[in-house]
Amino acid sequence: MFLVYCAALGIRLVWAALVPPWAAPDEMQHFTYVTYIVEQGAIPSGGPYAKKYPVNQVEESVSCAHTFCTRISGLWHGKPPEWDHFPVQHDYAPAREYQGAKQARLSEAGGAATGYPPLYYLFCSLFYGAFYSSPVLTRLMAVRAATAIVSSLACCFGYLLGYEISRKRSWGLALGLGMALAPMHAFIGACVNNDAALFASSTALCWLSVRVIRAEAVSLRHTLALGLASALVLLSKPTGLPIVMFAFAALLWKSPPFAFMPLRRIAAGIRNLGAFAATLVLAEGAWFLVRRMNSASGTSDSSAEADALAAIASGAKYSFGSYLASRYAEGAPYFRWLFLKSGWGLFGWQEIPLSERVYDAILAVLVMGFAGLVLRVIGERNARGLASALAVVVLLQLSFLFVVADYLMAYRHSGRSFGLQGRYFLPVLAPFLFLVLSGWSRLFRDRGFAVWIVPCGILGLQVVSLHRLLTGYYSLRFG
Amino acid sequence: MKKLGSLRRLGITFGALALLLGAASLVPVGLLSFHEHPEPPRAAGHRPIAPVTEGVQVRQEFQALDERIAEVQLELATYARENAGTIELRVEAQEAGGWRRLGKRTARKSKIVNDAWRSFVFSPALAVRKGQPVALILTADNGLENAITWYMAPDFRPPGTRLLLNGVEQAGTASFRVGYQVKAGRAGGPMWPRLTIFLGPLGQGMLVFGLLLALFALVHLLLWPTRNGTQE
Repeated sequence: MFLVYCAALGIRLVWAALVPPWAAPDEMQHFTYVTYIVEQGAIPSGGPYAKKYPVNQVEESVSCAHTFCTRISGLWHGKPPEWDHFPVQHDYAPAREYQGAKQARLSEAGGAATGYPPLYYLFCSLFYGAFYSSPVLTRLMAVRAATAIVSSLACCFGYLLGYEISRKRSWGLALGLGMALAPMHAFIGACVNNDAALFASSTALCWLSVRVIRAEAVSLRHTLALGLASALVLLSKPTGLPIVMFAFAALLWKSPPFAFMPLRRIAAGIRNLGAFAATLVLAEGAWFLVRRMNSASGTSDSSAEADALAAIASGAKYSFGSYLASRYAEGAPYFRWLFLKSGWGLFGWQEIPLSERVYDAILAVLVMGFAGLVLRVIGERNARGLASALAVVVLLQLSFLFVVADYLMAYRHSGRSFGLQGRYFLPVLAPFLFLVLSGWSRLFRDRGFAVWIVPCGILGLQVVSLHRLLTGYYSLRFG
Repeated sequence: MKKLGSLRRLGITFGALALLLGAASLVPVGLLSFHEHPEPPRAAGHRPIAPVTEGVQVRQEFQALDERIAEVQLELATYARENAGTIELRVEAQEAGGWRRLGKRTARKSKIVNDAWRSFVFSPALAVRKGQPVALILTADNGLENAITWYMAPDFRPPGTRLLLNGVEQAGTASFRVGYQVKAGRAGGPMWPRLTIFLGPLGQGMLVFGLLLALFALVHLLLWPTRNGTQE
């Protein structure tokens, strides 16, 4: 497992160094949050604001101009990017050495990340603080390194999940390395984004849930670990809620407090559910209190969750049927973009896509894996239970994102999609990848080498992706 | 087979890692640079040259600014529709009074994005001399209903350039960029300064440490799989 962590951390540090500054999705907003904690000594609130400072600090905007992020990305002006790569004949020293004064580092913290829980940002603020007097790009790299340290843990939990299910170290290694090498997982886990913390905590929760499902009896220690991991998921990013629901369902299934059971089992069930709920309430309660205190001091009267709940509770202009029809109308290109391109290979602000043949190859590997999985489920009764459990957690995440995030929070009022991206599905990469590994292994009658086919394919994808990054942003040519 | 001690295994892993890095540092690497001067400013009355159909030839001549042309980009338009057929870009250089073909690339019209730069890569790079006249010749098949076009700036004409439509000289310059492979060498050479354009000491340390850590872990797992779990 140590080697899996080394491989994951090493790859993420390479990505952290190579992805151009501010080129990752929402990186500026997440960095603003970290800056706010250190520079203004508080956790940012959801507003309203006195408008004393800009939404994103001046230092970030100046650095953005120095590093040409508006010219290398088309997102800022809604057109194809102005440049294909960074100019070769240019002095980049001012970009590297730029450092804003204290005033230039202050913000209203009203960026898109403000409503998120502070756990990940507090950890990153330690790294920001350690390089407080350095140029802004050095502080950005420090926060990216912190992100890489956190997100690499997901691969260790992936290893544990693989081992837990199969009781074979090779499966743990294959799953852990598959996650470590998956380029989108590495890219998002290397840039400033609270998804990194969600990856680690959600994979840990999947592993613990499988442990609970496989356990003879659920102990209090199991329950507390499950509760803690659930709290970490919710304190990382609320989009991990379906995985918490899955963990709760697993606990309820293994330790049900039903009236027709012996009294001892009912007591154990109540104790376990109580411990799970108490851990969750304690951790989430602390965050809720911070929010309330912010509100009481007049800096906040709303939060992202409150806004989301208000959006869900308000009346619908567009029905769920029309939403489904709109997704259907988008057709195969939309789902190809969502699940293949943005899930496996769009690096930066969507300007570094891989070739269509690479996406075709990924699709072929996944389809073959699922064909093998179907064969396994049909032929092996023992495999059905856990395969179903893993499929359920993947489908829960999928449904949550489509129904809650895309429909209830966006389409229902505006008739427009929230803009789902493949990276939102990465918290369930471990169970998903395990199902694919299992399918491929079945296709080769569970011979020892079969489990390594998919990780080897992902290694190839990693090499192709890094090559694309170097030839794209940096205009290097090999051979 | 006699079991190897942990230290010896580590030593072998480091040896293999050193060999791998040594071999990787020998990979030839080139660096692409686009000379900006042929690209007309948008303000200069930017418009399509003419519909490019079967029998139409658009020719843009310019003087090479460096010695190895690795990529040519043309700003093309599709008239906001999906067209059928192919386009062809030929690159020719003037030598001893005549024109010699250096390379040719084709592209499906359906793959061309409207109002965007289309890249044509030449690998290996096309050898030219600095100052040598070079021509980019764009042709296409099919008729007007499947025409594409190339943008131009009528009020912009840098020295040494000439735009011809079916052999008739036009005022202005077509929208094009030429990418030259300006530096070439082994990976250890032009690669490091290029990759670290935004990196201070911390970023450079992260890059080196990350690369070594990842390679160490992968090589160790590859060399000693039974110790690490392929055998249960």
